[in-house]
Amino acid sequence: MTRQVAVFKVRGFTIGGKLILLSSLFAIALTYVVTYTVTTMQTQAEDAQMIKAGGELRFLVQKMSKEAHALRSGDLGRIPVLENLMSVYAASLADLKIHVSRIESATSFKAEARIQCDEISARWEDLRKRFMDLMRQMPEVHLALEDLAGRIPLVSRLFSRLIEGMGAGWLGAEDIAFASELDALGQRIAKAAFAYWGGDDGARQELAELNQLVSEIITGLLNGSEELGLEGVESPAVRQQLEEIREAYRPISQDVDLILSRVPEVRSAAGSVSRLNAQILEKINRLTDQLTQEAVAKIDTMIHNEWVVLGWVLLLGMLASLLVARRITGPLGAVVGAARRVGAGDLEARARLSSKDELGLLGASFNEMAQNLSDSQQHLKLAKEAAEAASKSKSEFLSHMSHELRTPLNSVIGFSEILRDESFGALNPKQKEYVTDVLESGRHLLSLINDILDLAKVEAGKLELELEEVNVREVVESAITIIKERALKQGLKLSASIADSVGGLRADKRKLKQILFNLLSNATKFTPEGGRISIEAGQRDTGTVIFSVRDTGIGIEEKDRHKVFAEFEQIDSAYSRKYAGTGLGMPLAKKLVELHGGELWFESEGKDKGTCFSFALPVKGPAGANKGEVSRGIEALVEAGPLPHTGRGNRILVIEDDPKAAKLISALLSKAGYQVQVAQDGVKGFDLAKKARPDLVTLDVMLPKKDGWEVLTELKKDQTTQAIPVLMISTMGDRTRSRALGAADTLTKPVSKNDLLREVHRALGEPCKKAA
Amino acid sequence: MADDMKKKIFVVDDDVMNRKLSVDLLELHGMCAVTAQSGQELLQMLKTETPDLILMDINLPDMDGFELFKAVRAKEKSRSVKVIAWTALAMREEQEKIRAAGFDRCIIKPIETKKFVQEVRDLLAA
Repeated sequence: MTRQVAVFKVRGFTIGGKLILLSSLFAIALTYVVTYTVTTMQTQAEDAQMIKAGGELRFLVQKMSKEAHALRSGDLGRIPVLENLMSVYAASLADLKIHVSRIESATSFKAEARIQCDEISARWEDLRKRFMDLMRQMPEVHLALEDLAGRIPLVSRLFSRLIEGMGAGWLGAEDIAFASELDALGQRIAKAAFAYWGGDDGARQELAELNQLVSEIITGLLNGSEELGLEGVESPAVRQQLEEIREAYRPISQDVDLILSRVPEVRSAAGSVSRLNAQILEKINRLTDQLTQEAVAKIDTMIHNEWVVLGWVLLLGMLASLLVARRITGPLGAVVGAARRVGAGDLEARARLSSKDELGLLGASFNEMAQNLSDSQQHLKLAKEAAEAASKSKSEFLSHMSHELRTPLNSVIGFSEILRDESFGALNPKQKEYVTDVLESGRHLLSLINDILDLAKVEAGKLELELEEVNVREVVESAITIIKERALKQGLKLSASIADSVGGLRADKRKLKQILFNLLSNATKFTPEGGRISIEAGQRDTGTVIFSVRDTGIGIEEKDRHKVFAEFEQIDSAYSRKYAGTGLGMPLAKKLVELHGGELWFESEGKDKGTCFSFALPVKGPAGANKGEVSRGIEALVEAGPLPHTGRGNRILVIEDDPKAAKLISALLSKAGYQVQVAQDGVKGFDLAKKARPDLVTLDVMLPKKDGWEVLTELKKDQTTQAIPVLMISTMGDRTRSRALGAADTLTKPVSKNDLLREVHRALGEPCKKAA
Repeated sequence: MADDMKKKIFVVDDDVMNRKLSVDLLELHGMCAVTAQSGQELLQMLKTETPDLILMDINLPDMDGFELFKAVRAKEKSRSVKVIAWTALAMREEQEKIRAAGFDRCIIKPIETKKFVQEVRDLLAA
């Protein structure tokens, strides 16, 4: 049977490709997730910085507010601190602005944050100016206050001197009262000025009025005043003193004016500062709140997004793996399923695969394998059916033959017996003799039929052994019982000796009895009156029992040895009549022994020196199963063959081109004791025949170079070879043509051992007589 | 054996010689034998008469002995009649089949007359 060898190729994506694709997908997804996470973390850090900047700013503003408050209270030492804070604040604001400008989202929040930032910047500009004003004005006011405070005692002293002088009568009582009041007024002005500076707005009015009053009083004292009821001083000394006082008071008045004009400005500046501060603080608070909220929201979004991305990646990854896995496991599952079904005996199961990768290839190869398996199974099935049919028809034929032969034989034997028993009247001696002859012939015919059928069954492999434990002694005695009568009738002595060591063996009891009977019967036939027959059973080793049947009969000559186990052979035609037998007993015994896994042989010293037939059987029965033994038995027949043939005319040339056939034929002939030469084509065959002059040639018909017919023609033409008998061996069996060309006979292939040897014997002119 | 005690035996066999042989042998030994050539014929005979024993060939023209045996056993009248398979089917498988079918005895052709008569007598006495 020829097989198509399919060549499979992977087309499309290989599994490797699919796996690479899958891992790439995973790598990309992983990279994305990692990048996203890192970005999120960076963003978080930036937001945190921004919030921190906002917080810093707020802290600065609060601090500045405190410092400004202290400054307003007159602590000029706060000025450098404030200046420092202002510069830090400016830097922080710039930072915040940068952070805000970096806000990535193009949301409304970004715009708003910018606006807030800008507003904070603008307010900051105002604040800064106000601070500058404040820092400039504050020292002026302070100087004026200090000046004022310094001058007041001076003016007081001048008044005191004036008043002392007035005691000399320079002044009237009225004047002295005003002068005294003036001294007190100086004190009050200083007090009011400090109170005003200290934040008492009510003091401003007082300060202004007092200042006015002092000036009016001084003027009134000098020039008189109706309003005050002063007449004016005439004394030049007093006037001199009053002029001095006026001069001394003038700077104080100026200081008061400065204080009155500057303090509101300082107040306003300080107020602006704290208002602006509050505004900025509020803005910053709002901004940082927003930033925080936004950052939190952003982080939430990012975390959310991250989960979403992660989820998608996982989902896609799983889908992709599922897809790829299905692409891999699906076809694999199909192959596995198909393999399982094929394994379970469903040879029609196939893996259905559409993929074109390695698995597709695997599936296709598997299908191919399954197809081949199915094909060969089909072939085997057909062959088996054919063999069974052949075997069946063979056994049917045997069965039919047996039946058809027995049926008429029944009447032959039955009627002869009735006649011989003289049931219907007495017979005369001659009649009785004839009837007895008929009966004997009938019985002989029956035993022939039985033997033939047994042989045929062995040949057909139909004879099966019924193995059981067999008691050797029992079987031997039973065989002797059957032959006893005949032996005694012939005047023979029968003896049996069974070694104590022999117990039982595993064999077919009926067949073993038949073997022994055939050997005894054979010995009886060929032992003349007064002879002796002994049967012995012993153990060769623990595994083998040997049976021997020894007689003192006619013996077997060297030249006749090969005929002993040939079917229908009896050594000499002369004996045929004398020693009635089927000629099948010994071959059948040999085959039955071999069927048991044993061997049968004989020894004879020559003519009239008696013969000893022996066979050995394994104690455990034939190796292997019962049925196997049948074919083994047949093999054994081919292997063993007849014993070596010696004598003249034993060189055979086999012309055969088929090496197997040549080997078989030469093996069979060699075993039979012939010397065999083989030629593989017609030309060589003819040359060798001419040169070696064999005693016989077997000639195949289909030969290379020169066919069998030509070779035969030439052999018969040539004077040196025309006497050599030629056996044609052909597949067609052209008997007529080969006879016409001078062949001795024709055998049809396949050649059986028996046919071959029989024809060889016949062609060599060796005795070949059938039993009667 | 007394005449009034004569046992009646039906023989069914398609071979004329074997019919003759069996009848002669049985009558020679004091039994009464009636023959049939086919299964149908035997069944017809069984409708009117019930024998003591049936000698039944297996290879018959119209039906084989196994079918015939079943038919005989199926009939009320002949249910308990003893049946001997008497046949030239001597191969082991055939013998096993006959044994399995439930025949009372089996006698293989060709017979030995003495043994044959003995078998029949034994079965009749059983």
